[in-house]
Amino acid sequence: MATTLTNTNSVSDSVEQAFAQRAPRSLWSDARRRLLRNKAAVAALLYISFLIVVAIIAPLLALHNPLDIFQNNSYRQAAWITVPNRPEASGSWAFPLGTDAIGRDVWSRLVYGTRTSLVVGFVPMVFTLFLGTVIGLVSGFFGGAVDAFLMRFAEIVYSFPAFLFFIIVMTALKDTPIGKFWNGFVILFGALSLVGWVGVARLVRGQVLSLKEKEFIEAARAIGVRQHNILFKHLLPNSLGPIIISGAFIVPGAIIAEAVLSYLGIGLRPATDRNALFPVSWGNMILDGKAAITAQPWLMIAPAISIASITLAFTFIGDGLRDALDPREAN
Amino acid sequence: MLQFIIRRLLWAIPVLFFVALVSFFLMHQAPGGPFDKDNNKKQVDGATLASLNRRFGLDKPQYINPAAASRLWASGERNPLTLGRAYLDSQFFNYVFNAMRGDLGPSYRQRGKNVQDIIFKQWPYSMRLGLLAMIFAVITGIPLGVIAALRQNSIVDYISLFFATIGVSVPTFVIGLLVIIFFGTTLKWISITNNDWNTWRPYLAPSLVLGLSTMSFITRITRSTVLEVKRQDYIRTARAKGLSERMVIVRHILRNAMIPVVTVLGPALVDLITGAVITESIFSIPGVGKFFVDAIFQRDYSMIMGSTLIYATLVVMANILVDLSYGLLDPRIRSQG
Repeated sequence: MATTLTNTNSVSDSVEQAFAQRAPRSLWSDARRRLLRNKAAVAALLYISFLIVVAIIAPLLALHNPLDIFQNNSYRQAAWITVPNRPEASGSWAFPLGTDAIGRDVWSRLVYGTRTSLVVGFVPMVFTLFLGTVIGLVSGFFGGAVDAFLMRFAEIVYSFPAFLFFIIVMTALKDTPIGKFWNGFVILFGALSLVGWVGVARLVRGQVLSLKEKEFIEAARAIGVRQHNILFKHLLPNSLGPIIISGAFIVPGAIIAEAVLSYLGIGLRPATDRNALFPVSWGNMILDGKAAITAQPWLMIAPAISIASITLAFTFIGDGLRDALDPREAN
Repeated sequence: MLQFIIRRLLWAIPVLFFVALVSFFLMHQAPGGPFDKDNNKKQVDGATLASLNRRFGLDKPQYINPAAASRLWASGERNPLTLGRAYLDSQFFNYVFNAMRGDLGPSYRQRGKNVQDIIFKQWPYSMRLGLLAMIFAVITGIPLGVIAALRQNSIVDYISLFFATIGVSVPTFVIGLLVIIFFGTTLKWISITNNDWNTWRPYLAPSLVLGLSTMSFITRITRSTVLEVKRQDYIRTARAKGLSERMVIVRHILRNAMIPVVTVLGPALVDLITGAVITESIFSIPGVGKFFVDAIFQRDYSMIMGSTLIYATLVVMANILVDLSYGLLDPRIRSQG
């Protein structure tokens, strides 16, 4: 009997020792470990980093300026395809993925399109998260009439089908001064952010409502912490997990929305300035490619695969983040 | 429950009003009027334009008409209903009142046709596509999710999860275009042009493409709910009392796991409705979606607004169905109202 007791004691002692010896880890570093153990998420992160590098060094990778028109080179096939008896349509390594209707290099356009997709994914995400977090914090923290009003409004906005809203905004405002500003980037960012905030706001509000009742907030109030400190030092950091996860899913949504809208001819305007930072988008390329599915399929295949892989990568990252930040949800 | 249904239905009114208001407001920010946009055709002269504007009520104020109301008041009219109607005798409210009667006005580009005529004529094609896609999504998505969850971490699980992730993340129009390039123009397995859309065969490829994202969505949801149910105590109890494995799966796991799955069929339906727009346009199916996309390209504002309202109504109804199914399946929600 006595030996058993000592045994149990020594086991719990060694467990305690093990805990004591382990370097202290924050919740965030635990989450990072879990994320880095997820192979799909790590591969996706590497791929996105690769795309970011491509976007930055696009001028080095592109063989031509994406807006340069090469006469007598329209719809040239990809480099490895030879069209019998038609040298002017056969592939050439001067244009690895061929050319489009007016003789612009598809490879160079694809490389520059990376920039557009990344910007279109990230910028609305930042706005959406900011808007949604502020509204959700205010709504959840102050409650009462403010909360009721904001949530009713959110519910109406939420019921407006996002895809239809984008179409309405873009068709209506495309030819107005605000629609032309920065080749339509401003209006696109605006439309994407105006729709997305609702989901984030509801999420943050829910977090705040449940956190508000927790003991550590009560303790903070008891020792006289000011309201804005409770809001920004306690409630906000503890709601960050779900905010980050939803951010990871907003990015691919925005990229897809831009591609679909550009495919419908109501997305970004084609740039005319040779030095434009964002001269072309993958959605625009797909629209161009639709006219030549048989004559030059790579004009469409290349941007289609690029869009597919970037959205897939962001979904893997989102899934990985969710499993890492919210272990209860992980299976 | 009845109260719950009525509340949800009533809530649709402000939502649809908001949709109509926002689309109307935005559409009127577009430069130019309906009769002066077509630069290829003969321009109308001032007198014709004025009579056209009068005929379509475009000479009235945009949102409210206080002038008409005060004129009536001055002429001795005191009936609040008549006065109110005069006050709302504006382009926007006339559009709303007409829309409620099912009149969405004339198309700006297809001369002599009303928006609702175009939409209802093309509706059957969209319905066929949508139904086929939904059937495909449900009969493949649920079994895939169940099998993946029952054999968690097996190769079957990984493969179906991988494809489900591709399905939810890669946009429908990208998959549709790739299918057309590979199976249409390269392999020539499916025909792209000259399809007879009154037969079922040409719907096969587009409904698979359209249903893919919904199927993946259902697979993912089914998998995660089955995984959760699998660990519950009552499943262990069922096994402990000696039920056969099949009985445990069919009676206990599936039945309980289906509740969340049924409730996500609503958002999936919404996904199908809007996804159909692009799919129809890619595969040239003469449904409402294709006409909607054509209207976008031609800036046919009345057609865009009418289709938006119809699609929004569908989406709102689908959402109400979801809420009702929640209420039916989960008594806790019903009691909250």
